[in-house]
Amino acid sequence: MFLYQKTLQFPVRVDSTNPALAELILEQLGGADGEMSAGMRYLTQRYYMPLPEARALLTDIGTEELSHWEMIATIVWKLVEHATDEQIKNTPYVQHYVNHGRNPFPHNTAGVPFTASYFNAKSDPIADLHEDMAAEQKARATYEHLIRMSNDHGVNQALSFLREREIVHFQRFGEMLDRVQDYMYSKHRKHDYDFDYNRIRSEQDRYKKY
Amino acid sequence: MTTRYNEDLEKLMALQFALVELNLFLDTHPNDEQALKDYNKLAEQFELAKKNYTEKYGPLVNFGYGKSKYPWQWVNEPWPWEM
Amino acid sequence: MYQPKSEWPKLAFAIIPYQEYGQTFPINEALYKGTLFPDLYQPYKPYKPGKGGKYDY
Repeated sequence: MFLYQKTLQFPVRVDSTNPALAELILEQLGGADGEMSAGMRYLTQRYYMPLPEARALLTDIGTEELSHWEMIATIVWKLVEHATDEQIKNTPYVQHYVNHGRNPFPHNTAGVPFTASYFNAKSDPIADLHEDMAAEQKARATYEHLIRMSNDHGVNQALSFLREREIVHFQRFGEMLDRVQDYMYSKHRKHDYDFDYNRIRSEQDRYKKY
Repeated sequence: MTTRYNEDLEKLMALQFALVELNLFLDTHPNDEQALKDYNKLAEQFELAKKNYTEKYGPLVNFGYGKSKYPWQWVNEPWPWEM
Repeated sequence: MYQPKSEWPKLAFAIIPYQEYGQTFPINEALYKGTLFPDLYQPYKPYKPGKGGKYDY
């Protein structure tokens, strides 16, 4: 089940009031390669994973992505919290403002609302893990574009943190891909795959060197 | 919001982050003994930090993961996006 | 690793090498860097093209 810890994962500090930047950051709140997309993707894919450690990894990274989603909403909020009407009027943020005011809302920087079409779960662990690795790279690239477009030091610090997390997640999904491939193509596997936890546990002795 | 508040919180965040990293590492390396030792050591420190924080400011996690003084502290400001 | 070295490379299989547990940053530093592991720390350095350069990577 989900619980809530009343802290951010990272101390977000925003150094300016900048609605135009807020509109850009919204890409990671409701965009195709954003944190909501990532969180939903991993938490949806975790049901059909053959190894318990794959279910654990997808649950854990999915949960972390929701924490990142919260960070992005916080960055957007802080950028517009104190903005006057004049500051909002001449920026692309005004289109978000007429609908949502100062409230962060999951659409991308062009205003396209979030959709489940941004991710998939194929009941094919190898396809799913490859999608996850691609998603982490796309998110990293988006953060790099955002960092270049922003001159707010506090925002860039938070964006750099989020970018580095994508790199680490990519590595973890890559490692899990190896384990899952090993299992899917091993001689012990029967038809599709089975939920025989005891057998899976004993097989993990061969991973002792890790 | 005093400087002291932020220091307690940053210590907590730093510990929590290290634990997240180790958690993910252990998910893909379940048989790594050293990583597990480090995780458990940090988890102990985190327990203490959580207790200290809850004592000062109220529950850190909802739904029963920390007691509250009177009146109900969970609703207190600031919320994370206001800090 | 799945494939013994004598069988590398097997076609149509992606492989990401396993990270080995080694050094870690002190935890306050780790939070601000975004990772606990120096092995995985890859800070972003935007490429500055020379005059007339089109690409920013």
